[in-house]
Amino acid sequence: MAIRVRKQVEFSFYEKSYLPEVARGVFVTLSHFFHNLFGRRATRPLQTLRYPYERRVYPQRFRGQHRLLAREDGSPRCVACYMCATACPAYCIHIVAAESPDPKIEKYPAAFEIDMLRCIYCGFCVEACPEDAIRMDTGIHTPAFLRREDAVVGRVDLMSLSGQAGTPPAFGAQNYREKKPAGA
Amino acid sequence: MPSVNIDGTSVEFKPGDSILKTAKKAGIEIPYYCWHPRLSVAANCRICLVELEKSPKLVPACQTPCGDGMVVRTKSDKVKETQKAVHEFLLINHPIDCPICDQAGECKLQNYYMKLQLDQGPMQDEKAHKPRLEELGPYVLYNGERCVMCTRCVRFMEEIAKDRQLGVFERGDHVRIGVFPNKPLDNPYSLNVVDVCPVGALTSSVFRFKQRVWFLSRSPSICPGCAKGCNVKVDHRSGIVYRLLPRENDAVNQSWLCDEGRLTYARANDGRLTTAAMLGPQGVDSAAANAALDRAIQLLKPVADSKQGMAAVLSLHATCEEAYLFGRFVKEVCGVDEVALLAYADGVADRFLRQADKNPNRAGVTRVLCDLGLKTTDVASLCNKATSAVKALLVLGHEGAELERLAAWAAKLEIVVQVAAARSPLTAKAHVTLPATNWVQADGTWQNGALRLQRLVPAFAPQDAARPAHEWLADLANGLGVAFALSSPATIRAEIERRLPSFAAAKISTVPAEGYSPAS
Repeated sequence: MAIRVRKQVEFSFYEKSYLPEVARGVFVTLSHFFHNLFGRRATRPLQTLRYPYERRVYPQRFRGQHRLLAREDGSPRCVACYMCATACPAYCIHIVAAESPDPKIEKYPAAFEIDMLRCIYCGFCVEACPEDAIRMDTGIHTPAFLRREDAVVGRVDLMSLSGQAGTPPAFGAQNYREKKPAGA
Repeated sequence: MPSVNIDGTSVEFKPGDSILKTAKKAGIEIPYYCWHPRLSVAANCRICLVELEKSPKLVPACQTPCGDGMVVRTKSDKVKETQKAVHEFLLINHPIDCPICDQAGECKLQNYYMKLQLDQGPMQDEKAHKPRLEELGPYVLYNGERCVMCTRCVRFMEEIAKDRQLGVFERGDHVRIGVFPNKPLDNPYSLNVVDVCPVGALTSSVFRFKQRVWFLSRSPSICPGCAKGCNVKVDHRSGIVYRLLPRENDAVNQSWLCDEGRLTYARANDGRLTTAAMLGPQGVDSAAANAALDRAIQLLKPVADSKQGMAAVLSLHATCEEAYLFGRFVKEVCGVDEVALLAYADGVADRFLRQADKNPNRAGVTRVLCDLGLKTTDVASLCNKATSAVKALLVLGHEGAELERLAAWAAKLEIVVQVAAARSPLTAKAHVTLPATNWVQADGTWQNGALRLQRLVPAFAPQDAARPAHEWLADLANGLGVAFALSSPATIRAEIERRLPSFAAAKISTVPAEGYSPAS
């Protein structure tokens, strides 16, 4: 393969006169600047978001905070089979199974806890669940926690969440969205 | 010896042995549900059908005795097709609810399904519905839908427990295993039916839902329930024991275990001590292990110097190694000539497994102490003694019926030092408590009522500050100025063999996994 030799670029007199090109450069920079500052969100080229006041729309399969689903009567769908706990590579799911008060159902989770500090959001628990009882479709990030024991989220909290674009969780430290810094 | 040809290999057999048994011995696997090595042959599950040359039909391998020159095929297409069809039949009414079934993970139906069938089967009608939660007795629950009617449980009750409490009721789709009206399954061996059940139809109400079996680790051990010393498997996870299962040993318990013995698993978990404790002005409080050990040495120093005023109590759950070191400690360091034995009172016995003596190592402990030249007495007569003559009390172990009484007596003493694996009434009275390992964690030897030596294998490591009792005793002795160069149970065993006449011939250091009865 021949080596390609790059030719020296020849500038014209107009370009060599320097000042008009500087003015053109300043115009391009300023047009981007004002477009990004005042332009419409959809058309502006700059992709930086003012997180957390602005948020990107997540794709449908985004794996966020887990939730537990309920049956029609409000009892958990989970049958405490431990399939999620077995599949979990981070050992973050802790279940205590008990005899269900409903005679049609054999087991239910007397306790179902996920240690959010251990969870790696791989979604294996969702894949493993034979009852579609656990999903990661809340579209929310797991909130910050101020104490370790708060990060172990129990059954009642996990069941209080709804699907995509649902309300922020009641557990965890204060949510950034509610507590804006002064002057913002 | 006559031989039979199974899958092209010639296998010798004992006259009268079935094809299944012969194949199993030769390492050729034939699937089975209803057959059990210790029960009679029922041949009702039909999964063991094999092809026999010159026989027009397939024959059940569990029932057909071997004949010289027989040619058996267990892997032919015809056999495979039949096994798949039989499996389809077995699953017709089975709910296939493995995720919520306690047997999942150790279920023959599950394993053979993965091996032989692997499809949904052509059945389209709704499955027959039966009672899913029936209490057969205090410990056994029955799920009729999961049952494959192998009748192993019925045969166990009839042939081994010799108590016909179970039967097959109704016929066809309504068939179920059941008990007779007002006669619950309350035989002391009832939990064995859960073991023999190849599927999840019979479950133990004690172990039910506690753990999925694939999380459990298993290690061999000995049941602490009585002097029979039944061989068991300990199923545990993260330092918690979840159940005991019988371990096969023809010389002791065959494949069985009594309910009472099974329930002793809880003793390994209840109130386990993992930190040292000292009695302060505010009552008993946990303390650093080193501080507690130093305090114990300081408390026992005057007794060790004067070699007077010491009382010693040893639990009959202690291993022979612990008993030896305890005996040497109290005799050589503290000048004691009599040891009180902390024991459980005699209980129910029968002709099968259960012994009246509810202590697992009475024979071993008493022989070790006797060989060391120590007299033995019981806790009751120790407690009758006036406390004025006794200055200090050293207790090893927490298993025994007279703990309340001992604690009340010990409350009057100046110095009480306890080495124990779990909390007991005595812990509140002891000036120093050193946390030891229990029988599941111990490396040691027990001698059962029939003088059989059996080895305890540690299932998991001691937690936190807990250490094997022999280490505490060696440290105490070294602290009191008597050098005990005994670092491990193996060195203690070697010394027992060297020094104790009863164990010289018994070879305590080379006890095999299945135990060993010294010729006496």
